[in-house]
Amino acid sequence: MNISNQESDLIIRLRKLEKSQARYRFAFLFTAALAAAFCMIGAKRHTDDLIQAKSFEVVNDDAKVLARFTSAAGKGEMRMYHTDGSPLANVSSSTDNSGRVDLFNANGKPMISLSSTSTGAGSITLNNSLGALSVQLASNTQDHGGLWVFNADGKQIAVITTSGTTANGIAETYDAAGTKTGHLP
Amino acid sequence: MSEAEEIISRLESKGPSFRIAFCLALSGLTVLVIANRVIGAPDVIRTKSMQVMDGTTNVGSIGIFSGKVVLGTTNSKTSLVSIGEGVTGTGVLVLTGSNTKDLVRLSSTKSGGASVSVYSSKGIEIANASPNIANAGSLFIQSSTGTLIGEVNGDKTNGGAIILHDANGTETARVHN
Repeated sequence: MNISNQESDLIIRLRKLEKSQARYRFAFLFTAALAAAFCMIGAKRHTDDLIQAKSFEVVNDDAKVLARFTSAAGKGEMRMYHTDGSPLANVSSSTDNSGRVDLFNANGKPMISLSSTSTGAGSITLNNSLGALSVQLASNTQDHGGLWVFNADGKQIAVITTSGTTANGIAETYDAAGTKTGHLP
Repeated sequence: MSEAEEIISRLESKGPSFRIAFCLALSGLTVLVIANRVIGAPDVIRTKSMQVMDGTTNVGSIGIFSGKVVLGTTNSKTSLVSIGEGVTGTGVLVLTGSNTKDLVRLSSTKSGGASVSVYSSKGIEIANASPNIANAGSLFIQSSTGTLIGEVNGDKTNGGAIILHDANGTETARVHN
């Protein structure tokens, strides 16, 4: 009788054990299937029609950001960087809500800028290696076109634009002190 | 054979414990999830179009439009900078002012040379630098009405020249060799 009771108790415990094993078998198979599905989804090469985000970044192997496409003050901008973090090229906006493009030299100095003038006209500026203004192609205050050339000290040394309030073309040259040395016509 | 012995033999015949296998599978899954978090940036994201959103407003796009790739930024109302492909298949960069008129355009001439144009606030071209028909460099400066008032021009036969014009386009001065 005592042995029979012990055997019955053993059977109950073994049944529980068998059920437990069945549960673990199911859990293992389910988890393995989930892992396999994750691996398959991750390995699949797919292309989305559209990706939207507040910012996109291109990073190198060291996780340094080399390009950032984002928004600033409600306006879109794209900035590209050297690996040391110095600027390379910016596609941004001017304070008057017009477009702006800046290119920088290897030392991070602004080299070429496409922007707008205070009158709202377009402007192209070329700088020397130190980032100082060298040549500007833009408009004068009367909205006429003009070309201005500067020396390394920032002094204007040549200009082609219009004369005073007329729309007649003129060309002038200046010495390093800013004194006019030539005038056409 | 008693029932207990039958159950024991069934359990023994199942081989390795599924508990260990489940723990291993769960560990593998955890590694996958953590790796996904830690690795962060994927090497490449493939898409037909990317948009930068400021709230619900699109302020920047890179995408394929009419089979050509275009990059553009906006201030939510008007275009700021657009980079893409022009009608002749060459690259084009356009800066736009707050009045939606072009300010600066980098593009190409009909012959395929580079062309840089600057515009007034009214959208009239006031300066252009590009190769001339002799493939020499040239710079043209116009008044606010678009009349040519100054040019730096030349060719390989005659060399360079600076030429000035009055408001009517009549030549007023010329410097050359």
